Amino acid sequence: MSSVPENASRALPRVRSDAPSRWQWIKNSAATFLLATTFFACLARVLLREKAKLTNDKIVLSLAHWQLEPGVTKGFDEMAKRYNEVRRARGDAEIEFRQMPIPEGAYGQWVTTQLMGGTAPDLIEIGFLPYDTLLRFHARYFTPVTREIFKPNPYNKGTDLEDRPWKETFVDGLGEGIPALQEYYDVGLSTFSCRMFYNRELLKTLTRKLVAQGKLDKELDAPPDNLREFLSLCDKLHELTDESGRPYLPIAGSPDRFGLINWLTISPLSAPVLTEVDDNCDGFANDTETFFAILRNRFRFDDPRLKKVMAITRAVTMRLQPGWNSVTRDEAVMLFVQQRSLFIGAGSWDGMTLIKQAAEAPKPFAVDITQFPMVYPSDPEWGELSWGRPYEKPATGFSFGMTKMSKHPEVVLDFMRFLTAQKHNQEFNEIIGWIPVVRGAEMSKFLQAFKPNLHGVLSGYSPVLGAHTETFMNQTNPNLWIGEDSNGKAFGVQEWCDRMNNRWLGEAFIDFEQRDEAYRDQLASKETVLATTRAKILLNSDPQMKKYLQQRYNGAFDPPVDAIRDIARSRQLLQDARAEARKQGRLK
Amino acid sequence: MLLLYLWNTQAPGPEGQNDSHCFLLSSVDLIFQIALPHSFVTPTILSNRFAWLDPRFRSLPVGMMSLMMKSVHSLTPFRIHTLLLCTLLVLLAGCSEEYSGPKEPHAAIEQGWVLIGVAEWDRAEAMFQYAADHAKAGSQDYLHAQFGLGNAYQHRKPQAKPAEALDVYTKLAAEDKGGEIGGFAALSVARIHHLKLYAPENLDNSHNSDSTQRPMFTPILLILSLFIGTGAAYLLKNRSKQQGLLALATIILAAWGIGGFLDRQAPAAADTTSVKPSAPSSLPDAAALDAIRAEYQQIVDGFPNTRAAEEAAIWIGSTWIAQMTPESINTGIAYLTKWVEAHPKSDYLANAYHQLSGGYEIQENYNDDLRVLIKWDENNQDPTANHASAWFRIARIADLKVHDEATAKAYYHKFLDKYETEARRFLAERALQRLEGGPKKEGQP
Repeated sequence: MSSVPENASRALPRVRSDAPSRWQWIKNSAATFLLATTFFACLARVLLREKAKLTNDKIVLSLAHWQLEPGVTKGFDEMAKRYNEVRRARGDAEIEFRQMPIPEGAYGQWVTTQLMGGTAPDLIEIGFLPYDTLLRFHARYFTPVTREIFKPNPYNKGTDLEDRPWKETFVDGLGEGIPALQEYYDVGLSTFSCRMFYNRELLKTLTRKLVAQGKLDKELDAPPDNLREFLSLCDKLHELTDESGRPYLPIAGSPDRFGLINWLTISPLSAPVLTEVDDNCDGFANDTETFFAILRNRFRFDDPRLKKVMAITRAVTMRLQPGWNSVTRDEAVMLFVQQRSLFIGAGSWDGMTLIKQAAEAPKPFAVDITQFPMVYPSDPEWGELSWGRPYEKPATGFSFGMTKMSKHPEVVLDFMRFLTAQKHNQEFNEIIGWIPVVRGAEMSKFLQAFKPNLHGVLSGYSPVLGAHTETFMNQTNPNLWIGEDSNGKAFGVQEWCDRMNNRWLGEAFIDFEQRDEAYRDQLASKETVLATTRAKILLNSDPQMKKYLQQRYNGAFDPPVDAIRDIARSRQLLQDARAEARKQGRLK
Repeated sequence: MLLLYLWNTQAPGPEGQNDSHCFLLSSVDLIFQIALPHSFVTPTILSNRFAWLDPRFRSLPVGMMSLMMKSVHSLTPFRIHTLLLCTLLVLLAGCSEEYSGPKEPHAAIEQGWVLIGVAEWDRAEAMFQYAADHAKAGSQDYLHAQFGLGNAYQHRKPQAKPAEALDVYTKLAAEDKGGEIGGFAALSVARIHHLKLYAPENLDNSHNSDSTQRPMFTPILLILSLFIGTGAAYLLKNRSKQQGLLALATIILAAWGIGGFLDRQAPAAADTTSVKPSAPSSLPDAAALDAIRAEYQQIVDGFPNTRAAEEAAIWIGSTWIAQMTPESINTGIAYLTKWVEAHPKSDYLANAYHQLSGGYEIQENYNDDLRVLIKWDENNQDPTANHASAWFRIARIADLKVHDEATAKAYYHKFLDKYETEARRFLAERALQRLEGGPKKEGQP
């Protein structure tokens, strides 16, 4: 037991040091002080901003996008400046232009928050959201420009586009707008294409060496356009080694980089089989037609022409670095920037960045751009496949929509017209280093090589009907690319043909059935599009708009009718084709 | 208190959102109600009390209150507290949303359609209901509101309300006999019936679904039984080795047997080389299509000179074609041909030509297909539409099927002149090169 007397504590002298010292007090209060200061600073900032909003009599035009490249922000600022000059010249008030570059990763969320919170900027770049979400957002938060899209763009005055509707001044005519809503909302500012980038200096140096070794006739400052010659050059380049004694890896590969080569060099080679596949004479080989062509034995996967296409695929993948199928896009770029590879496929959107990376590399070099090589008709083995270079759809990209929160929609619309006028679109894209989207707008010298080919060839068959065939193709094709199957056994063109002939149809049957079900499910949605357009006609009092809507309605009337006929016809065709296949012993 | 009670039992039904009463009043009433004699407070009365609540929340307070009613006359402090908590729960569940749309019926209808466009079905229904309640009976706004309501029921996703939609449409068709809205309402009834014939439920493709996996019961049960059986054998080892082994063997055999039985019950493994497609019977039979055509015919007869009647006629022709017998396709073509002749100024002329072309394509009658496609083009009903596909197809059919070189060349040129960036330019140029022997075009080496 303690023996401390009860009044002992009272007897003790008061120790002053028990009370917090001033320094202690400051230390203890620092956090509170910091919190309070931050709070009031934020409050003041918000209040000032709100006050500025209320008292600012300037027209503020805000725009959000995810392009963080310095050229893009600079381009917008410059165009806003020029727009103000135009406004000043015609006596209109100047605008205050604000742009908000948002990182890609957060863009979708940011846009959603701003739209739902009613604080969205006037113009928003469209993307990074699922299609269904975008559809709903368009209907709810964006202003349609349908009425304006059929009128000429006044900023095209004095050009060959002066009298053409705004819609028709775009390289793709803006397509059908948003078919589900029967309205146009977005306007694009650029278009894109892909080409092969190469290291000219290194190519010259290495080909000089090859000439010295007697392996090449002449020194080259550009890769051969002929695919066979290009592949032969790749083999010779691979025999040479760099300063560290490592062999050169001619083409920097990764799955997406190979995708570009596949699209622009290999896929058009299947065009000649279109004759057997295109049943309805529309010039496209769609997946259903491919399915019935195979089922009815009009076309087989061991067709000699297709076998050659597959052989070319293998010939190309053999020239990519080992393990290319599992490296990332950036790893492939590193190979090129480190000068271990001479060639790499890239898009026009990447062009400036790649050139900058090369210029800032430890051993800087200049980058040149050329077309992907192609098979020539004169080729002794592959010539019959050569119909030409692939068609490059000049699709509108870098699209912006006007939000309903805009306080000055007429100014925003005017700015959109300004940016998409022939002259201004050219100037804008010149600054940002991309391809203009307006007809007649010239692209910068650097981008000349990216000029989309509008006289090109499309693939002649389409073997992906749905998830089952896609998975099957994704399992089968890599075996051919790598040259062996999952058990390490050699996998060549013949193995590819055999597997496709034996197993593709089974997967396609499942996809076909599932798609039939999906088509039936979609019948109701098609009716909804029709119903909403019908309501617009019934409720609209503007005769011009009523006429336009009636035309759209009649256009939208065909798909639901066609869909029912197509379901019935496909079912009938399937029944007939199966009976025929059974009769011929091709099907159990 | 009685007045309050009577007022509250007159509470509107689930759709009575516009008149939803104040939660405070309801809560006070609720507490008074609890003090009433047991026999006087029935679950039905309670349900009425919560009628203003969303049906999803209604059962919870009603259930809890019913339980509390058992001995309501002896209110202990504990019960009072519990009752107050129940009331709080009701308050938390919240009142129904007040109608917050435009007050003017026409504006509410327009807003309702915007909401259908963005798939806000509940709010769309509320808008149309409000407009129907506030528009003058029989007025255009009233008809539009009812029509909008029917559409909100019909197009609602994921679960449509076809019964409610049919009810609204049928009444509307009777109310606006011969009128535009009435015609569209009647057409919507026919459309609902028609689409039902093609619903996915009519398909017999369970054997092709993703759920048809390889039966896995036997291996799973065998692995399990190995564990259990080994344990049993270990436990029995001291008593008798034979018993332990017997237990192990029995468990494994039982697992084998049960697994095999379950596997046989499960769907067969997907054999991709012999997948059975759905039977053609998944398509509607002639009798069902006849009934649908009769419905469409009633619209043609009952709502003459309306757009609904014109649409119904196109549907009649197309259902004959979609019946897919040689006779029915001929009937459909004949019906549409006659209709086109009788309605040369119709807004739906292009649609009729389009369906005729579809019929001829099935018959592989390319001469007539080409003829109607050219007529369709000459009609040029929508100059703003994209004609690229149609022009290319006319040229292609003329070129490859009918061997009408002049038409092929004319349409290839028309296509190339107008569509400078079209994907099929190369094919058109290649064809013209063959037909006219022109020079090689860009894009060729």
